[in-house]
Amino acid sequence: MGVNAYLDPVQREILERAKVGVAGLGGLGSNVLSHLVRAGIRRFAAADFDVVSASNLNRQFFFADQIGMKKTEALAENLRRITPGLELDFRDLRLTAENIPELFSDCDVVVEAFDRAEAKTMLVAAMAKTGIPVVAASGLAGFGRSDGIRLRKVNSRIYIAGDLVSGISPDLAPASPRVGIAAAMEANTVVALLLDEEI
Amino acid sequence: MPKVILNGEETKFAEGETLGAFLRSRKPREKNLIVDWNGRILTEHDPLDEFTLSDGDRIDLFSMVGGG
Repeated sequence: MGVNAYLDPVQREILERAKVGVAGLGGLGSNVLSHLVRAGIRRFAAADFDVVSASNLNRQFFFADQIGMKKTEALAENLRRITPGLELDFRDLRLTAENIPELFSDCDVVVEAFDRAEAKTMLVAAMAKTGIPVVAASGLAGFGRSDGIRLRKVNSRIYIAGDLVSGISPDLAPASPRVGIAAAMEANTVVALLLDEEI
Repeated sequence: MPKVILNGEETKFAEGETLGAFLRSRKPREKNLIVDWNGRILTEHDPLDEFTLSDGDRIDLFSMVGGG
């Protein structure tokens, strides 16, 4: 049973068959994946070219003894400690407008979990051309203002979690609580889309 | 004067104005915008100066800022 204990058989089957793409394995992506694995999803495609660094540990789902590991390897290890046997197509590469459609072509929904604003825009535009639903995040730095983080519906296939204004800056750092709200909102939207629940 | 619905609010534009010119004049400091123009998803990498606005067009802007 494990993570499926609270699901009815129909929901369980939908989530076990689904495949979710995650673009970036930082503060958003690592926490989105943790939520989605606990929600009962087992199949993922994801990409990140980075290694775990000490400064990641203020918000990302990695551990101190993983510093220096590739994020793809470290996160696969951590997620399989929640649910062994996950199907993880994790690629150690930089995503581009060219390789995004190929990596995520068989995904039911894709999560934008990048750090840089330019990359976020690129991913949303690339996915919009495919018709595969995308859930993005924008505006999650700093502390407080929890209610400012909302889910914006662009159309029935594009959603954006965040306040759309709180970008990272020297005065506004990304931190676990607020990044976590946005990550949980992204994950919650993915599950609702898959289960055809109210967004 | 013709109007577009910009993020839900009626906004005047000049006859023949392009989407690119409209965004530069109303949102001069905005970068990394997701632009929904009558349901079409565009960014600054699309040829926005080739798209001429029409009365009643709907434009919704979503600003992508860094952090994750």
